[in-house]
Amino acid sequence: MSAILEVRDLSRQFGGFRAVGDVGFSVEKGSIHAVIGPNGAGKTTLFRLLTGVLKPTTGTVRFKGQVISGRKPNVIARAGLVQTFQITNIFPRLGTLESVEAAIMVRRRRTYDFASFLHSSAKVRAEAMDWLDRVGLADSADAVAGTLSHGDQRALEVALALSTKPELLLLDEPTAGMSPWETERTVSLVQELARTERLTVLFSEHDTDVVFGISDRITVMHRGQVIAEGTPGEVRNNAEVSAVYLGEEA
Amino acid sequence: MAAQPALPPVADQISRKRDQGLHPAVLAAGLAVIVLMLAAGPDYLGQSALLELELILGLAVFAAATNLLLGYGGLVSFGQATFYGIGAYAIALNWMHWKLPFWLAFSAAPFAAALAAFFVGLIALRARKLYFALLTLAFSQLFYVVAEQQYHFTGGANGIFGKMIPPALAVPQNGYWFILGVAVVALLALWKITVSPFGLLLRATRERPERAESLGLNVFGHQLMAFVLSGFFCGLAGALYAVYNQNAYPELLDWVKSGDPVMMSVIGGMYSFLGPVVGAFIYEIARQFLVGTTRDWQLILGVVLLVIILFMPDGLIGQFKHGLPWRKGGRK
Repeated sequence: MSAILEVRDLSRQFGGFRAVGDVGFSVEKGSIHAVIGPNGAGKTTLFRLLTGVLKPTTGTVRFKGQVISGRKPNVIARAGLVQTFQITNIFPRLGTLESVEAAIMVRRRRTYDFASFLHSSAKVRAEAMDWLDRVGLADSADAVAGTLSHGDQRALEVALALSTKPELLLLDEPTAGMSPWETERTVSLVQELARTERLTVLFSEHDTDVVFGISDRITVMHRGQVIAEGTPGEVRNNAEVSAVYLGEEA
Repeated sequence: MAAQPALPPVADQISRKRDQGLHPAVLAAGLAVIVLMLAAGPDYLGQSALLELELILGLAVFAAATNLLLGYGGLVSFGQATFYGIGAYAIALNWMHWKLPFWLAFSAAPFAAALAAFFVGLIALRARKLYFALLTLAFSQLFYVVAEQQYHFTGGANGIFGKMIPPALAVPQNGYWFILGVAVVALLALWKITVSPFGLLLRATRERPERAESLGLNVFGHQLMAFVLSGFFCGLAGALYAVYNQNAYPELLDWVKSGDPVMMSVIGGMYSFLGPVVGAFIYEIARQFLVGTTRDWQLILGVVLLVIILFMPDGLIGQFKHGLPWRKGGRK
């Protein structure tokens, strides 16, 4: 096994507040890796550091052996590290299918393509439909994205990220606000992709059933620091985790 | 990063289904008929009507080019007259100083405007929403002041007047057909841009620039490209103005002039391609009518704009697409 993502001594300071402090862990290629922790543990800040939205105060992030910390978000995304957002972040006034087509166009580096007619590109359309189908949105292809239900917007969020064909997918609380059925659909899709496309998944999640059900490894954060890491079994039996995290949740 | 568009409440702004306009084939056929009728204009229109149409056709290109930023990119520029004026001045200055063939100047005019847009965009697009608008306005005034004060080069406040177009174009019918032809080709090109992958991604940057970026899009580069393209076509519109009026003067570069295409887009509807074109016709015809009728035409225009912004935020075309309020099944 080799690490696709290596995080070393990563810190981010907001004024006097240390949102993330000396975080270090690595994510194995092809694994499903969870980051858990109570609210305010620094998970979202960590994700923003990984995707380049925030610049780290100290420390480095290596993706596929290359240092990516400090690079721009679009460059990191192009390299294959793509995230979904905790707060739904779609294109409200674009069509659902169109949104996925847009993501595919970025992946295919056709952003400065003025010549082709998008709506006559059957190949792109078929691929976009396929992604919508996989997240269960095929029936809503013609709807305006902003009018979708909350759960469907979450699913579109996932479809957008997947259609860029990332190597490492960051899911920030992917099932937040989803119904149990939608959660199950999302989880099985992620599992399937990890298996069939060798997609590596790093995700944060509050639903402990999901976390312990699908993760190969779990990193536990508390107050901006990593307090434990291991297999689901090791983390479940870790006394400090029980005290700090599971205790608070229960 | 530029622009973080404040989105209007979605459910309020759009119908649940996507645009319910005319069938594309019907629309295309209708537009073809309109273009043919315009082409036959010299057969049944008088001299003054043709001149009025020449002006409006150029303004339609100006408005559609501005709306590439406004409606598609979510970028409110109050400086597009800079590029309109540069297009007109390119022809006038060439005639006064360099004496190169008119056709060369006419071809170079949009490129000169695009080059200026590149440098303005490079700076203005670094700023956020409101500051972007203010920076474009500031650049507009900069060019205005230069044109006004460099008397020996630009003719100062008087501008440049003279026979700057070839005799063939000075024949009224020829001039009209030339402007009509260039305007139609320019509008087709602009439309093509909006339905291309570039156009789709431009709309994505309008919606959520940071999301587009997280998918791997260089948002700044994309917006800069849109700004340069808009500048190019604004410059072309300005060159058409020089053909129509055979002059160039500082007011063409003024921020007040920059407001025209924005108002045309708002009137016609900035979320449809034809909105600004329709807006240009309505705005200019109404202005002509009001100027002849009352001294307070700007007051009336202001009231009309206010009504449109309050009750038809998607403009006339948008209102038509959503279904008119009195039409069955229409949106309330």
